Amino acid sequence: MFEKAQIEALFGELDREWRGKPDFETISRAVHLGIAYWDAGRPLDKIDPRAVALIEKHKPKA
Amino acid sequence: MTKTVNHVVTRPGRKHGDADVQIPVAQDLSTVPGIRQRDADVSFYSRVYPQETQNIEKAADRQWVWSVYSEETLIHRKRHDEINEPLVDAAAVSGDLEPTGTPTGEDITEAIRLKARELGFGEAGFTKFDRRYTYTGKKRWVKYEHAICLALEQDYVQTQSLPSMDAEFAHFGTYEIEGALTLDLADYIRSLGYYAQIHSPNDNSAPYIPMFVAAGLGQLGANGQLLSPHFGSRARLAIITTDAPVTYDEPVDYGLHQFCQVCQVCVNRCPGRALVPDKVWWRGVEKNKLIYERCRPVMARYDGCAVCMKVCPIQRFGAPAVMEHYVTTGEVLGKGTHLLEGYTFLERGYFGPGELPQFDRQFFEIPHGRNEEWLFQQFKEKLINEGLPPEEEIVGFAKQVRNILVKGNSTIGDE
Repeated sequence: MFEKAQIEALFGELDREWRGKPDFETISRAVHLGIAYWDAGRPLDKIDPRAVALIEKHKPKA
Repeated sequence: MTKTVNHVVTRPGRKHGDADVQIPVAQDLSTVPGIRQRDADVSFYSRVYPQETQNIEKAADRQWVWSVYSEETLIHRKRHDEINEPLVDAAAVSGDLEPTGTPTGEDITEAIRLKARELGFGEAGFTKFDRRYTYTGKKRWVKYEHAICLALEQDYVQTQSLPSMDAEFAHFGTYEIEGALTLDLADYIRSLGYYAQIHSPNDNSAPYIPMFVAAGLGQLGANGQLLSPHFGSRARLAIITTDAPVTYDEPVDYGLHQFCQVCQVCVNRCPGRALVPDKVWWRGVEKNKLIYERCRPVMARYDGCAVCMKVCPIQRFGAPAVMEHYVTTGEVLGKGTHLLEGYTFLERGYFGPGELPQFDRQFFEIPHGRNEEWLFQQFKEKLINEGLPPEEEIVGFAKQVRNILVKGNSTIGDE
């Protein structure tokens, strides 16, 4: 499960990279849904690839 | 564990022009369209115990909140009130404005719905304005029988930062935008030849949620808020009543009435323990009845709180994803995770799943009822504890009561 520190790091990067750009909200929504799916063990194949990249980068280590 | 699908609800996309969405409702979540209610009880309570706006009934604590607001909240609230006042004033007299166009007599439901969506309303639905819910002080004010229920979505990103000033900017900012948009939509209805009366979200004529449920725009959540399919409770509600020929929508069973009983995240995460797990029958409606006195002290001191909005999976992920996940797995999407359940509570720090802030009893002792009722309460306690006060104090008390009565009650307020 994503812990607080990982969530903050992910959203921190999202903010730095995307805030102010047109797709910021779209990717934010996708990140929330994607983390929830990841936490639930569901595939991320329907999630925006830009959100998936962030999730993969910050996901908990196995 | 996969669930059997009882029915699939098809709704328009979140924004105008978006594709329709499908919401699968599991068999074990299916109840009734809208909400369970006993019509005779609703009528009885409205007749014998009519409701009044909280801006009057709870005036004492609504005045008190200004004494505990942070400096930042105080500044923002005053600025918001200045912006909002002309919008609320315009709404108050909107029902008297003459139509500007010529009516054709044709049903204009879809024309109004389309215009509402073009203006940016996330949901627009039609139902009868149910006068049983009208607040006492507004009974003579409501002019027209058809209600157009309008929900304006609040900013997604800002809302996820709850509780925070950033989220409060979204909250009050949405009211300001909505106030202006309802004026535009009312103008449009008048241009088609009909009257339009705006029921401001900041000067409510009734509790609006029952009519939104009747119009099929969502179902009542355990957090006491309308859960609409795309944005859950992340919306601000307004109504326009009209004499235009329209067709009413039907209530819908999105599965949310029962889903809340399975989910319970808002109930478990409420910092003030103001939400209750079980539904009760209240004024003829089966609902999770919020305990106002547990909610208000937290709201006032912690940037509007609204943790119940933040942690609702329908708000966070939308009903299509949450219901699909439930059907596929039998689980509540996000339940038990830091992502959904975690929140930071100002100086108290972070609270993850299973952790709640603690408050002592004194924290919840705030003024109750109407202003004059609260004064009487204080006076009674003084009599009991200290005996008969000096005459000048009694006269002072009487003057205070008179001032309140002369000033009268305002129905205007933000929630």
